[in-house]
Amino acid sequence: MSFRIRSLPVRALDLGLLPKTSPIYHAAQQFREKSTATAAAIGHHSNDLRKKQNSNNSEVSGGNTTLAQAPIYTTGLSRLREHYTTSIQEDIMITSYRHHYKKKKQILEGVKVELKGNKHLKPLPRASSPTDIPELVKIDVHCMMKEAITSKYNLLSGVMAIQSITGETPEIIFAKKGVHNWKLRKGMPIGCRVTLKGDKMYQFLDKLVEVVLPKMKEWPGLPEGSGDGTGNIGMGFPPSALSLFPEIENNFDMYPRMTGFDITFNTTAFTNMDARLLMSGFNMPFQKSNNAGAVRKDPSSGMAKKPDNSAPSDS
Amino acid sequence: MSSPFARSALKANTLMRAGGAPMKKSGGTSLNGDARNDLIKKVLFDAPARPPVRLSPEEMTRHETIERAWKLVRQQQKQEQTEGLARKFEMMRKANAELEATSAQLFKHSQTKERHAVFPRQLRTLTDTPPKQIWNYRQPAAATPATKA
Repeated sequence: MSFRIRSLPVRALDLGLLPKTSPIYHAAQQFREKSTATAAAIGHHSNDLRKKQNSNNSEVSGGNTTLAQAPIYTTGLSRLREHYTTSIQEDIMITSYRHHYKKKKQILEGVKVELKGNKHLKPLPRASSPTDIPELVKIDVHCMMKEAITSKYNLLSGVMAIQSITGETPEIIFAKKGVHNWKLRKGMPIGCRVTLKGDKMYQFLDKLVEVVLPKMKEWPGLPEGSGDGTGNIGMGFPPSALSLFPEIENNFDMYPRMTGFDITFNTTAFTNMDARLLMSGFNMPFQKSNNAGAVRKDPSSGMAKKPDNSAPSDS
Repeated sequence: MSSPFARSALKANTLMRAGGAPMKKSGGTSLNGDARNDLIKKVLFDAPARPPVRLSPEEMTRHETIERAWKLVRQQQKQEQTEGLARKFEMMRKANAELEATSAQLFKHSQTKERHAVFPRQLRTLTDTPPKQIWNYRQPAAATPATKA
């Protein structure tokens, strides 16, 4: 496993991870003294404490400028991103290739289309192209705590837990509507959510797949037909799963309440098949049904075909 | 959560609780005498902001040059990658067109997609060092490993 630590020396100083004997520590200390001296002289305080980790904007004051926080791409290698680009991207391109593009009825903008039942309009799939390969875009981690109804401070534990897991401060979600049976009022803080992109997303997925999922008890894998129809996959975790994360395992007692949470993988795939193929490339296990000669669906002709070994399998 | 601030605060709290000191009321965040919520609230919302990193002009130019160089490297890598993908895609498209012209039945078979096609579970993501056993040739492909090591 290779979880890279950001190489900015000032940040490492705050985390206390650098050994005091290293020359970087002394250099960083001098650098920090300089910067704190100038900061104290100017008297800069960031107003929004809640989002302090992402709030340092670059500003010009005198001759000195403040640095923006580290962007999504760091100089270290992201293991799963490398894996995607080198190992599985081309295979996904080949496997999800469709030679003929089924053009559906174009719905004009502004025209309201109502479907029967709870169905909703889905985005139209595009023709296969080398730039339109299914890729993982973001991961949404969301946690709703029922205990927050009785006291909003119960939510703090969930917020802290998700921050520890993901490394980003979650935003708090307030109830949009009240539900009388659950004593929920509109505007109550009831949950928290964080969106992960880029390196942080791949790191989180790495942790999930290597550390957490193997340790989960009697978890057979994601359902075979999982997916929301538009290329996103969601999964939920019980409260016991929270203790399997390395950040929480180490100081388990500091969290008053263990809570469950759910994760949504947003991909650029258009079908469930492509989304599942993509996630399985990241070692996300899916359940397998036992019938070997399963009926396969042909998306271009819509008829059941006799089974053939057209899907490439590779190491 | 292992910042020096959090660690010292927690130590203080645990010592107080061990010593049997009465917990001071602090706006209701400590539920049933549980001071951890207090601590979490402090860490999340009341923690002092880090001083911003200030750079002199020459340091800033240095930093910007490095950033631009890294962006350039990434851009070149991405361009190589997209060119490679475009080439492969074009070859595949030509092959499919040729197959369609050659045999309609074979072409239909080639366009059939297995609905539950996934990468094999034995697929190994990149690691710094190779495993002890690189590939098990004796184990049949259908058997799935129970858990990863």
